[in-house]
Amino acid sequence: MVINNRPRRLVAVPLLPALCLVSGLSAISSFAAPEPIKVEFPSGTACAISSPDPGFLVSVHSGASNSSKATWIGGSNRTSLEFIGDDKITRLCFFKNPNPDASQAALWADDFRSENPGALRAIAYSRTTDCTFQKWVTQIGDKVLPLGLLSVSFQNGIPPAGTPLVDSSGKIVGLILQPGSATMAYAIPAQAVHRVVQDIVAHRKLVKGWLGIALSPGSQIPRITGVLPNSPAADAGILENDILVKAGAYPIARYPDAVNALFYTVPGETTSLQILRNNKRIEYQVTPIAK
Amino acid sequence: MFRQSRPPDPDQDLVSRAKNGDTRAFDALILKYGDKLFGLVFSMTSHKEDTHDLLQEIFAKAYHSLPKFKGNSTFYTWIYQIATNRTLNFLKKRKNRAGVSLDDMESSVQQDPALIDTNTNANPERQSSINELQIRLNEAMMKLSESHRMVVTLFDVQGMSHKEIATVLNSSEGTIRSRLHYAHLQLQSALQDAWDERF
Amino acid sequence: MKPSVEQISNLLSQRSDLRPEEGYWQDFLREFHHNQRVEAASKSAPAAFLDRFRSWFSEVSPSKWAYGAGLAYATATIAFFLVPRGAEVETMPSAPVNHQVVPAPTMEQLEQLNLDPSTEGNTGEQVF
Repeated sequence: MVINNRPRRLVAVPLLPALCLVSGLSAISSFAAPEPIKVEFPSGTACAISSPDPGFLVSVHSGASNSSKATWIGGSNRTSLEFIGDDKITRLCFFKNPNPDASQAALWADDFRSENPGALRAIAYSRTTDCTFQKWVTQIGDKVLPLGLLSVSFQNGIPPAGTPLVDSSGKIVGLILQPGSATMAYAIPAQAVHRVVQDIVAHRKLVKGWLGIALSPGSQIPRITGVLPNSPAADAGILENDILVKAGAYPIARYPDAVNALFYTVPGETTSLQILRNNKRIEYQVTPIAK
Repeated sequence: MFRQSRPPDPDQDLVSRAKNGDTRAFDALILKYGDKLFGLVFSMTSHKEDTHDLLQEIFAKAYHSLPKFKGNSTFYTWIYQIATNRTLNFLKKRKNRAGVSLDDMESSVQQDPALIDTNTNANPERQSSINELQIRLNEAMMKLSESHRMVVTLFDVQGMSHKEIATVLNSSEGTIRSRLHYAHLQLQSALQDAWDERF
Repeated sequence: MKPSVEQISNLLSQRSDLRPEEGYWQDFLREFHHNQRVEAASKSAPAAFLDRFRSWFSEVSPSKWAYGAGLAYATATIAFFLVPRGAEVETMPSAPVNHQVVPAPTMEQLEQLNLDPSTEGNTGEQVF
């Protein structure tokens, strides 16, 4: 098995301006470059990049059942990747990183919270593409997503699934999920990758937090339509008809925001829930359980 | 001296056809003004079922009174006159009815999806604060007298001019301005605490 | 600190988007037409005539009552013979002719990021 040697980051730094000129990148560009690799699934090719845990590569699969089979395509070399685990909700899949050297690990942002459009760069294995974060998407038509996605616009084609999106500091803020149109793609935010990888490392699968509150997709207002008895929410004192206004760091205005916020709860980790009851804002500390 | 000509009523054709028995023409008028009148009546009653019943009554009244509509005002003004009259009469009767409390209306407001911004791109944090302010504002609105609430609804929510409101309510511009001024002062005071908390 | 009048106005103007849910007006029109049919059917021929009779008198000045009484008698007699018994009320179409009745869309909760348009999500209450 031959693995192509890649220039180490420390050696590459003094050569960076020259490399920028050669590659055509602007010399004043502040975008640094992670190093994604090309992977091939039975259903097609994608990008993979070292995850927030450098021991694992992360990519995005199409949802087909044989996503555990991936081959790293490096030049003329093809290397089977060792499957670690995947998550059916986000379609993130994880493989053992053949090069777990931390100095080559990609830099990840802790999260991406911007509400305003902004420039990003998509770094695929074959090329780099400028793109623009446009907005958050928590609902498409009448379908509410299980977590919020970034809507990113492209001018010159959509990169493959798994392509990392970096901000001006060079940190990865998202991974391309799939195209939404010829000029727009949906991306999974960095915080979702963080959330999933921590469970993959510990449990080989995502384990969601469960609070015991019922919400209705048919209602725009995030009103709690039921609190299950003996649940963490019931124990904390949350009542039916309370209106959710914040969960953890996520403010909630509508039902889809609540779904996005509750995706990030972790079993055993106490989180704060703010509700509106009789025009008063009340905060509860709730510890979700695994379900 | 020549009489100043009025711009033609944009609904003249539909009204004429409806007067001649074309029910589809009246349906078209309902659909044209339905949302705005829904907004008006709901802002006044804060109760979805009452709003629905009132709208049925308003359009029925308009339908039956069509033969008497001579076109001295636009249909828009005329239907608003019917809507405001009916709504104010209803509210007077409701006040005297036992068992309707502010709490009933508040819970109706909180549950009703019509009050929530349908802009899917809104910043959730900001929208959450605005939602709360809207709930408090609604509470304050319901504490105004019906006549003050009506001028605020017509001016600030529906975007009518003082002159238009005066015509609809069969009042003077001066009275309208004065009622509006008083109502705004009341709302400012009522929202003071909520405003301090949010901003 | 109090909000300014302009700030209050801005908050209130957001309510200009207040509107009922999708499909509301189709149902509203159906109910409206039904109510009109019921009202029309409840006004039988003699009763409808009586309405016209009353409204005619309401426009006549008191000094002309005597003249009106004789005329009214004649009118009533003629109308009684001319208006058919049990006249059928023209039925309205069961639905507004030029409006399609569209059921309100139901929001669905996707369990996975499967964005295929044919993907179906869960309706009804969701527990978190």
